Amino acid sequence: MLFRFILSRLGSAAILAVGIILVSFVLTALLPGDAATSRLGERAAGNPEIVAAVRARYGLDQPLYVQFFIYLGNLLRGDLGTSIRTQKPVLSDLAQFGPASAELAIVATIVAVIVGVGLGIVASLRANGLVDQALRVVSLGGVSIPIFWLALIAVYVFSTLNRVFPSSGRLNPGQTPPSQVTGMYTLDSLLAGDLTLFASAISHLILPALVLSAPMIGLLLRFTRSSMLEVLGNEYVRAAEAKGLPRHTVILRHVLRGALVPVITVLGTAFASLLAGTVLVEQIFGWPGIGAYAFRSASNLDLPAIVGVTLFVAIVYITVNLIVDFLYGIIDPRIRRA
Amino acid sequence: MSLLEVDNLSIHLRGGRTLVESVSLTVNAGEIVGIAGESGSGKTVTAMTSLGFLPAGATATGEVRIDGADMLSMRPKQLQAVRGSDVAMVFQDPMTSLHPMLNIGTQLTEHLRVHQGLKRKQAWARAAELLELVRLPDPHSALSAFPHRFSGGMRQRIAIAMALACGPKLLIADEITTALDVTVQAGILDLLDRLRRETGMAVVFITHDLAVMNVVADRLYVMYGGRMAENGSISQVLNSTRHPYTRALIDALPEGAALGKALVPIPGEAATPDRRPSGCAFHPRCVFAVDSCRADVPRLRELEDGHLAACAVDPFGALPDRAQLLDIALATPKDPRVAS
Repeated sequence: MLFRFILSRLGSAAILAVGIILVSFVLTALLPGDAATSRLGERAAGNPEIVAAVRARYGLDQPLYVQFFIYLGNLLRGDLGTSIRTQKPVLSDLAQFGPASAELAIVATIVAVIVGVGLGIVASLRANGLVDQALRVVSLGGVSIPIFWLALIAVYVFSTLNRVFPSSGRLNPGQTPPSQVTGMYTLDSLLAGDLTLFASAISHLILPALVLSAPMIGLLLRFTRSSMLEVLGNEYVRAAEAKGLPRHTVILRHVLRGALVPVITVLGTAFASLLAGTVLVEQIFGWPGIGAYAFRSASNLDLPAIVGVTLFVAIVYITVNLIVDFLYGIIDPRIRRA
Repeated sequence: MSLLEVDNLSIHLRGGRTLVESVSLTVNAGEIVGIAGESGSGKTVTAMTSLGFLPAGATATGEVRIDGADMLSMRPKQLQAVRGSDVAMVFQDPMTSLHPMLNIGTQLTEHLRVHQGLKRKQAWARAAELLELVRLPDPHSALSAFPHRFSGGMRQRIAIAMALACGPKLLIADEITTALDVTVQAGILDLLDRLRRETGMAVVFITHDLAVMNVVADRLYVMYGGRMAENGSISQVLNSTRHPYTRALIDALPEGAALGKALVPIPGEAATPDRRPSGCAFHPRCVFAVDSCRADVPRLRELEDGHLAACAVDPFGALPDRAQLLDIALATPKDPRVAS
């Protein structure tokens, strides 16, 4: 049953991916400008024979739907084109900057889940008390304070006023990155057994990750609280108490489990806004990730890079939603049947 | 000493509303004791105190003793030790009382492991026995299944197995057949009676359905408006009824109508903690009510051996003949639908 459920979700994710590729392809085709002449120098672009040869070479003389399949074929071979700005294949750019963003996003998400869900549980158990009121302010602040402002304040307080954390980069100046396995410096330095490097990587990671997690903490806190409160009124919670179970078992096993589905739904959408947040956070903290890459590509109208980033983010997003779907199935057995 | 002794229990909410007032009841080992009454009569609130549960924000006076230990003065840890082991509960609606996301085995074994310190394997073996005891088909595969696989009747059997896990001395059964089909009800009632005989546990059986009560209960308490109206053995209360409210409940039974008798609904609305009439709470709906019923709360009086009723008029007992009864009824004409 679970296997069929996973298979069906994988199938619909694949269809969604093709859909996104189609849309991004059509949008690129609609853009003004000639793909053939833009690849040529000024003189060559003036020569109709060369232009025609380029068109034939890249299949640009074919109808649009044939071009789409050529494009799909290129994608499957990992060919995302060459960045105009860096003059490197977009794929190798993504492989370089992707892991840095992934590291940031993953740590921010883990922090947000632990802090947001944890505080949400506390708020629901103290509903309308003083603690709950204070946490309501925390939640509201997390959701509504602009992330770039929070980032600047964090840098000012923790790097400029008190030198607790470094203000930018992934490592101290002069440190060589660990040999690339995952591309995430914290993991790679641990794998290499270099603890000084690991400490440096962590201290660079903490501040941007915390800033990035703030909106997600606010959202998760609010949703966990309301979902917990709803479940607390259920008869099965009273039944668990009537069995004489310890309080923490009732709260964590019975109430939290019942409350988790809406929280996970929010987690999926919150992750999307977290990805958007990386663009700002990476820019402010000098974090060489996809967000910073996207920012520079967009300001230079580097089309292949922009499309590459778009597809990358879309695929990450689809994957996250896939994980959310799987989590539903694991948590709530009733969903597996659908 | 009785197994459960509720002694002069009153429960108040903030703002002065009264849920239960001066209620006393006893349950002896191996007995099935019924508590009957409409919604708002306080029957569930009373029964829940035997697990140490009070409604949110409520305060209680009086005593609720299980084996002599007062549940109302216990600390949370002590309550946890009693709940699920000495006293267990089965809830009204098996569609909501089982956790939809935990498998049956986990729900059957978690309190076994807490209270009796069983290892996972032992607990699951015991859980399979329990499911056999409540006659659930194919108990072993049921353990790894989730509640949505089962029908309402099956789920209620599972909930009963859950309550029986630690061999409780007292089982609180709160309207456990109300949410079930009539055909399924009979099976559950049979099961309850068999379990009582096999395990010797006592049962507090809560229902508003006197026909069901007649089948299972040894003794019966009838509550109205948070007070005790009448209690005694099941035959005393149902066959020589002394309280007009009990009489009205019996006359309102559809089973009587099936035998050709008229079905008589109880006029007016049931008293609730928010709207409880003065004096005898039942007086606005009572055809026998006299002036004093409006002013004075009737005392629970022993009428015959072990048979008590709280009615100042006592229209079915103390009167010398039916003619005088009729006079009283005619002398106080009123529209019972008008609540005071």
